Amino acid sequence: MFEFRLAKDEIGVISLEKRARITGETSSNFRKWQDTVDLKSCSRVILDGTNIEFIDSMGIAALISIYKTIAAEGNDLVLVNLSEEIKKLLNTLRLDRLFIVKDCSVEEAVKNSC
Amino acid sequence: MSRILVVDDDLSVRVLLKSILARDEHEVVESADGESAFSSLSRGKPDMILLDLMLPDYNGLDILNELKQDRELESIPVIVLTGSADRESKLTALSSGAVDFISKPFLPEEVILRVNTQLKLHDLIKSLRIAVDNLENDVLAAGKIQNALVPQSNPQGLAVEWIYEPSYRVGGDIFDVFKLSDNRFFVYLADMSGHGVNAAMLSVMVHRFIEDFRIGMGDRDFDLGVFMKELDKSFVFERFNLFFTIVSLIVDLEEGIVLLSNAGHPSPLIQRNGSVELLDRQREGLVGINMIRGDVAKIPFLSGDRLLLYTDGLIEVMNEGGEMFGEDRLIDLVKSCSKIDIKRTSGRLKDSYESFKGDALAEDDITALLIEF
Repeated sequence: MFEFRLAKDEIGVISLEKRARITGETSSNFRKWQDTVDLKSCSRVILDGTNIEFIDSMGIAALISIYKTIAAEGNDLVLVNLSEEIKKLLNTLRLDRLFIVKDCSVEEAVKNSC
Repeated sequence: MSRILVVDDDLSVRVLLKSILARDEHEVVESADGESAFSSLSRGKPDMILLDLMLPDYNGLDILNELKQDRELESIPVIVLTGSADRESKLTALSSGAVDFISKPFLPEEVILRVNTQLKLHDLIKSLRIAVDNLENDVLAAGKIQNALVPQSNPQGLAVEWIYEPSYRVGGDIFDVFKLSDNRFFVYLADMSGHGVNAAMLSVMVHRFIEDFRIGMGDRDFDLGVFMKELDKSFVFERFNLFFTIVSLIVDLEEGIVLLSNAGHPSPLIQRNGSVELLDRQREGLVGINMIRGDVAKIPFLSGDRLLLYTDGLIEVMNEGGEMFGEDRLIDLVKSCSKIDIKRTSGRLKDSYESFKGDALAEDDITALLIEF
């Protein structure tokens, strides 16, 4: 369900194959998936929210888990293409202080031009 | 080895089946007609019944129907014996609850295979049912423990009403109301990420932690900011891969103020002079990921003002059309209840989201606390 690719300069991009809700069940699959990819050696990780339809508290826990992995190396988690509802949720939870939320395309985020 | 009741009027069929089943060490009890089959069943329950559909005294389908209506006997798997051309009654038998059929004439291997497969399946279903029952009982017991942690009655001196409804038998919401002194009360409402057993276990730990913290600090010196920072430090995200949101407050009736600290929790509602507003004083993030600075807001109140704390499960109640209950509906409802007491208001709130939800499934735990000053 989740896809990971490396853009230039060890920048990781996480996206969803198709539109999905990230909830309790998917987030446990997500954890397993997270163990299979090497986020630690990425200098920046970009999460493409295009296909995230809805996210519940367990989904948020999954995002925090990615953030914790990346932040431990001193690197950034950048979220792009999020729906307005999800942005509002991140703001309510004050998570927009931890994650970098941007209104730009994945390509721009990779180039760090936004 | 299983006990199998063979009901067939043809002696040669019974003898043949008995010898086939004896190879796998199954014990066979024989009945030549319906009457003797029923009297055999009244003496003891077999593990399986092989039932001929054409008996001298009974139609096999009638026996099948009677078995299925008997609470004691309905779980015995029944395989029907039919003539190979009789497709209609095979179908009727299957739809009446038979697990399989064997067509006459039969091959010994087929009989053994079908009987053993069904016995195995039946055993699996039985053990699955026992496992589910055990699990269900455990969760029920856990639910009782969790329920015993939330207040059972109002603390004297503070008017407060609550709704506490886990989406499953246990849930991820927890709250408490303590009396710190004659005029000071400590109230908190927390929501663990996720719901169900893991969230419930964390909620019990949080509850316990808060109780210990309160005892350690002493009711007189209880400090909300220190308390919130301590929670954040103690429930590190990596430990359980879970976080929680919490709104905590100290109500000081003598001073006429509420001290409030909110970490990631939906904003409480405040009602005064007929107007209802979101009390958005939140500056802090989630507990468990080191985002808490211990900021505390000081809110003055007047006698008669009301404060509603709730978890997001309430505003996210979904109806069958996928629409959410939402903040606006909640605000309107609280507004419309300003003339009735908080007990009835809380009852009306419950009725309101329940009728909104209709037959849709409850997705999250719902907790609401209504305080009147």
